[in-house]
Amino acid sequence: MSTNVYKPHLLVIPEDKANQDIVNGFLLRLEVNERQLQVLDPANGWSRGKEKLLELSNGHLVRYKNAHALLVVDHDGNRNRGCDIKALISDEVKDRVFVIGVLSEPEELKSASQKYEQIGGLIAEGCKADNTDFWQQESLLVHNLDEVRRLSKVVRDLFFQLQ
Amino acid sequence: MLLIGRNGSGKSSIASVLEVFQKVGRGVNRVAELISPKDFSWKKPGTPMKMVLECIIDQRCYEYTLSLELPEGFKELRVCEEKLRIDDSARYSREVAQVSMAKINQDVQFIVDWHLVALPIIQVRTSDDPVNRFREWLARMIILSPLPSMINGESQGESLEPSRSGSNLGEWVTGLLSRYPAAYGQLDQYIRPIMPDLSDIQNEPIGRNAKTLVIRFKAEGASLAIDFNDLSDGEKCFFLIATVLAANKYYGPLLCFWDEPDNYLHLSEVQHNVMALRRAFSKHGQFIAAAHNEHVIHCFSSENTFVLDRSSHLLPTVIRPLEGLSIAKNLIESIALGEPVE
Repeated sequence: MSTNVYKPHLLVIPEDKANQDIVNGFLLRLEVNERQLQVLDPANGWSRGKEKLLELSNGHLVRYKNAHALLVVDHDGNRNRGCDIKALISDEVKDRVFVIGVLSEPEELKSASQKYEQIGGLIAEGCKADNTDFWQQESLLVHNLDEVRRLSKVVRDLFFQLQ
Repeated sequence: MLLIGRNGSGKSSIASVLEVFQKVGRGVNRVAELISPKDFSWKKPGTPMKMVLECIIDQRCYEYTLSLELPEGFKELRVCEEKLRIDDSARYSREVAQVSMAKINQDVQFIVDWHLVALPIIQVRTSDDPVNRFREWLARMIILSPLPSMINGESQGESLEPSRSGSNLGEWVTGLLSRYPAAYGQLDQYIRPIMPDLSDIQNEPIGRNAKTLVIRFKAEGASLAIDFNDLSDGEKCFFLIATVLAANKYYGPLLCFWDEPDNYLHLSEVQHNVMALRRAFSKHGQFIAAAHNEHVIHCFSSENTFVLDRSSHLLPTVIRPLEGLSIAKNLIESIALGEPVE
């Protein structure tokens, strides 16, 4: 049995390899229910990622009430990209859909001392500790704050052992 | 770490080199049992073959070098250089037959048959001597290219030294559970989400010195016992993965090289199993996979993926980090299209 679709689970659509590498860093830090997170193949483009999210939202998320979907997509300088995509999602599943991403592109977030998987690891640590400092301190990520707070509630309970 | 590259680029050869070190750790010291003349590059034994392994175990840095040569007129290879350095100081070094060991206030020198590797026969005073620790680490290295049809779950003794095909899984599980009984919990914890109807795993005696693994299932009041040998190839691999994870937890840190970890697994299982291995070894030990499957490739990142490539069988393999290569952006498409590695 792979992901149990009748239990709470999260499907992640990375826009490209760079976003997927960040997601990999997040996956490495999961503590429980690891099988309830399934990363789909990179969409290769934000527009294709949006299409894939819409497809899931109209299909899998309608069929399975415990399904959640997360699109990790470059914003290419457009702060409203997440909201614009979310506006296309039906109200029935909207609260189970999340869109986050770097304001420009992940390459600008990466540095010599902080590689993609390490960034994913920091995000996981923040989720576990219910701490959004990493998102607030990084100008390329701060626009995600509201969405991250909403996502953290789902992720924290599902994938981390809380004290 | 992930190794990718075309067929014949040299991924499995890395496993073969690690296997030489593993055999040395397991006490094989006759050079002819480790390497044969045909193993030289392009089958030309003119220049020595040098293998160097660096690792950090228990915060200590080990560097082991083994060079072999086939001089004119020799039928069997001989050692031309061997040395072990621990934390930057030489524990022993050797040129051909002459071995020099660093001891307190003096250097000890002695002669070893040049057809024998010295590491397995170096005498240590205590079992926690770093040389012993290093040999044990080499011996327990896990190098897998599983052949499930050869894994029958039977054992005639116990071992903590799995074979490349996984054929001695029965002995390995027996050895693991006899020395670390709590490892059963780890096996159960890993297998149960994959097989929710698992009841328990038994190691039943089938003769005076033999046992066989029996997997018992229970669902809706009914139960069923299945010999390990009768599990599917993929199911046998789940048990192999669970054993690797338990071994690394209970007597690691270990190095695990898995050639094509997606083999025999259902598509929906690949990510979960590869990530479970990566997750466990990221805390403790080192996991190296070699793969062609895109779902395995997706489980690794550009920063820990290495591309092996060579222009022809007459040229050496070049290993490059994926990060920075032109194929990194659309990796799977570039691989499928056979784009050159630049």
